[in-house]
Amino acid sequence: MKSLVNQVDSDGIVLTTIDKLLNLARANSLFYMTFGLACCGIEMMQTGGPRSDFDRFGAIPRATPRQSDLMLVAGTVTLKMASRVKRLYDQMPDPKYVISMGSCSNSGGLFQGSYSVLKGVDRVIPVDVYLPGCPPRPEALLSALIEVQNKIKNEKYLRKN
Amino acid sequence: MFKEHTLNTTEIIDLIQKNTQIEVKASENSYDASIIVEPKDVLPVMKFLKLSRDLSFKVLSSHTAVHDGEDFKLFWNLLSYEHNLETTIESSVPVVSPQIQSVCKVWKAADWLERESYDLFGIQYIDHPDLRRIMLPEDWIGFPLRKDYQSPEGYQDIENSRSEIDKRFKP
Repeated sequence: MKSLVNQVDSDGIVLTTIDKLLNLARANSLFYMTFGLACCGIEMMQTGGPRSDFDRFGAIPRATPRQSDLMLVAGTVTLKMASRVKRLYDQMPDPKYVISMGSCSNSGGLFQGSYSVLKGVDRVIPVDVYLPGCPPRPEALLSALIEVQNKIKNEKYLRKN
Repeated sequence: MFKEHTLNTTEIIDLIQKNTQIEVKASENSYDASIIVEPKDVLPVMKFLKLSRDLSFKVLSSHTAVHDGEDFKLFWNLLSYEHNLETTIESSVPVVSPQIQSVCKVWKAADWLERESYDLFGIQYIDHPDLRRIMLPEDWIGFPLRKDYQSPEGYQDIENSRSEIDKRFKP
């Protein structure tokens, strides 16, 4: 089978559905909100660096929730922070996705016995991908991003409710 | 400029007793020798330690507390750069009425350190300029580092009880 580029080269026509084209665009332009709460935040920055390079998947860090599609909850969420997490999530425009990065964000992790730590970020916001690890390596975070991309590519967004 | 000889705890205690006529004693079983002061005498002793020319403890590097049975033990770590000294002042207040004089007037650094022990232990500092919680939210109930503290099941509208898996877990 010829590749997409070769098809364009030969006759200039590519047949696809609107859903697929839209999802291809959405999946490869995931702007993520920089939201490092603890040591996972350092690993997230490392993933944005030249060795792992988040940018090659179209993921660009944004400093505001209003321009973001993806929230990376990277670190321990305290009860004081939990209401802020929810507010930031509410400020993001639809469609929005959440990666819960690391054990603390998934379940409270090492600190779940503490009086001030939220036992899993899914108690305040819906989570698409849970990424285990303490902290996860950059490769694991890339894998989680690709997982979100796969989820987006299989959506029928125009017919979503 | 370091001097050859620095004062040890016994000599500091002698200086305090000679100049302020306040009874203080050295702690018996401690990793680092500390000076035990009655809670009512804390403020005058601290003033002396800072203002005395032989000691001039101008730096309060840390202040913290421990819940030990019926009492809160309070610790102040003091440094004197001029005389190359360090010492620990220890005092204790009962848990039922944890009241002690604030040392904010002596060291400005005590402000936030005392707010922290108020936040976590509920120790009331008399004459503190702004005694309110420093790290926990202002509407938090209870003082978490007390031994009888029970973790809350939630905060505001956030549910935070233990999960079923966690309850079944036997270490």
